[in-house]
Amino acid sequence: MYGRIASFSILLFALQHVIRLIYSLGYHLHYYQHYPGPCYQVESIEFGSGNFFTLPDGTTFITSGLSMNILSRSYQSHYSRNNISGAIYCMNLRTQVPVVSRLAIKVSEDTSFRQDKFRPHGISVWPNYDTGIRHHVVYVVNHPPKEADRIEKFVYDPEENLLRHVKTFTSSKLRVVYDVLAIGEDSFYATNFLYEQQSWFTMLLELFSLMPWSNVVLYSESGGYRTVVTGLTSATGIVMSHCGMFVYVLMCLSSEIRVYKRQEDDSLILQQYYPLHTHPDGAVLDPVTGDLFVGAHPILHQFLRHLDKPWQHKASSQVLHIRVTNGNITSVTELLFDEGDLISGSSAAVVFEKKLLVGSFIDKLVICDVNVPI
Amino acid sequence: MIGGAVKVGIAAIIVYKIAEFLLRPGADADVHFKKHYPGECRQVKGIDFGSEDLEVTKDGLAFITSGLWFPGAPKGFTDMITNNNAKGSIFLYDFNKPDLGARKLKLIPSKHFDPEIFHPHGISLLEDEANGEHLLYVVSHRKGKDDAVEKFRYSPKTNELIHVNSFAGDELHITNDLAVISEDKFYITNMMYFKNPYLSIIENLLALHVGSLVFFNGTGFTTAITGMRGPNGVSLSRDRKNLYVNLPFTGSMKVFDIKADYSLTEIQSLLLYTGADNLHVSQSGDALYTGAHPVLSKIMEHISDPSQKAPSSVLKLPLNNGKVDTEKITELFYDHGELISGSSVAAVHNNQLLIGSVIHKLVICDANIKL
Repeated sequence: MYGRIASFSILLFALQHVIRLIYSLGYHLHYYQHYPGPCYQVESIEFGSGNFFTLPDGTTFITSGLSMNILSRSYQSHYSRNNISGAIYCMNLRTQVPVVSRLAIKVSEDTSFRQDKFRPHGISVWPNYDTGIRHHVVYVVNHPPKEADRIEKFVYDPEENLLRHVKTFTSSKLRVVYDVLAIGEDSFYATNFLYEQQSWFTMLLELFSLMPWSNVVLYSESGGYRTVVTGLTSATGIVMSHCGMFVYVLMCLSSEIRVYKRQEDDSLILQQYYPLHTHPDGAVLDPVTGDLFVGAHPILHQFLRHLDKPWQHKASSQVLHIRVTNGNITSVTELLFDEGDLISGSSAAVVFEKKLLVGSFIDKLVICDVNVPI
Repeated sequence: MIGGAVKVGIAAIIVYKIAEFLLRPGADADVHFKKHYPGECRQVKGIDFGSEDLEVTKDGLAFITSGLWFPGAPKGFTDMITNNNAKGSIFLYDFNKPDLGARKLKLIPSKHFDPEIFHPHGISLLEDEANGEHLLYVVSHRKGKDDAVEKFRYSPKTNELIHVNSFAGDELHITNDLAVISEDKFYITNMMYFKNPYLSIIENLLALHVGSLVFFNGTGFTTAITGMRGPNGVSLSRDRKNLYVNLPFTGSMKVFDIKADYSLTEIQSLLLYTGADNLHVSQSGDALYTGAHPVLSKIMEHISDPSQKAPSSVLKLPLNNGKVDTEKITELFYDHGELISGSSVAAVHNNQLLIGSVIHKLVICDANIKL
């Protein structure tokens, strides 16, 4: 009899888990489109603008041509069919009509870095304003096909408009990496979206079983790799406040953003968690106000279908403006909602001088005038 | 015996959990909506007890009904009105003189009009472009008597509303809004059928489709459309060729063609996914604006207890050949209820958005985006 009770309880548990998952897919959700002003798609970006980083002078680095090992075969064939390649673009948001320019990548001879296997995702810049020449350090998450995820370090050469590849960071502590956050020339945090990285099946199982194996890892020259936050589910974007005191982590499937206080030894203590009730992908720090702009997937089932066949299914896009005061999140406003016609699968956003830049996983890059109060 | 008890226990837990889920209060039904505004928004001074419906003239004069009461109103609602001595009244807001705020208009009664039992709901306007002596038709729930449509003439020199006529009839049950097509000819919605409080509870519980749309031709009422579930706001297109009715309980809206004999043919039925209340056509006639209740249970709670906030939303419904272009519907405004609770109507004049509510404030927004 106890066996029957036990098996019935397990059945109920599985049932309620499935119901919760179906609910989070958002079939019942309906939103209305609205924009902060007139919008247009940026020419020359066709296949993604997954993540970006904006410096106080408006210089923005954008990753494009994203792919991950967890994605389906039809996604990969879409990728190769369209001759998509991983690339990093640069854009100055200060100009009246910003243009993107693709940055060439220069590699040293004895490197394992392969241009044709470059699939850039999260990006973070450690600005270097010494000697007047902006040789910023650029960290990028890379998902080379059928290999382990890694972090690439580049140095930006503004005169020759290229990125010089310097180092590749690999470790068994880097699992399915999503985003990176530079905290020094040679140190960074990185989010592991999932722990499983080998088989497509185990990755999806971990994702949908909501196993809390996602985490945040710290790398420093002195300490190597160290896990600083554990027990997360589907951690995606990670950004830091100007003062370096607060680290913000987005969690996609769990629909929330967490604020951590950074300690002396770079460990992170949870300060606040704020439910967003949407699925946030990437956050970009406003270089002027310190607020956050987030690209999110409001209707998850649409985004999952889009990830399977991007040419067939559009996905609703949403941009949130998260106001922060002293590391405390005070309010959330929706800056843009599009049903996927202008941009599908928004994954990052930033506002600079009344211009909103919206990036997507594998779709376009959009710029809108911001005529609403910010 | 223990086995039987355990089975009953498990069954009880399952039933409890299901009931808890189904009967949950609307407390979290609006959590995934985020606020957004078209520009700087602020409450208009002078209105504290509702601005349920309004109409704006070409020159920017907005006539607003306030102090709503209706038969069957919950105790918390009526308490708020009586405790604050909020009489049924009509306010004027001039877009060109915003500093004056909203001013209560003096009502000059006639033989058949008693201002003490006047409780205005929907309003419709016939503009007098020559002299500014606009004709206002207002739905009134007369306490102790039947609902009626009160006709007033606006006197711009004295800022008064002079009562002209009252229209009542057996065809009017629990009315809501009206749309005037020409002098003394209008369409009016019966949002509920039963006036008896117990029967109206049943009517709501069973969601009976006994609401209707009635037409007054100058002398008498005729029923134009029957079998509707809670028709609420009604509006006409600028060219008087189409009629629009909001059905908040079903989250939908219906569009009709108006024939020469004033009969109606339904040409479009669309889902709005929200509880749209009243409608207002744009100045050029190219769109409708509507104040909506995103979560019905929240507006119900707000009406039972006005201290409970209810979210507000304003939608713009672009029109194409009389029909609503569903692909181009946008949301102009969303507030969680702090600035304005229970938005019921919205109108645009010179790129400013005026938003009214059932029993809360009146809000005006300056907008730099195209409204």
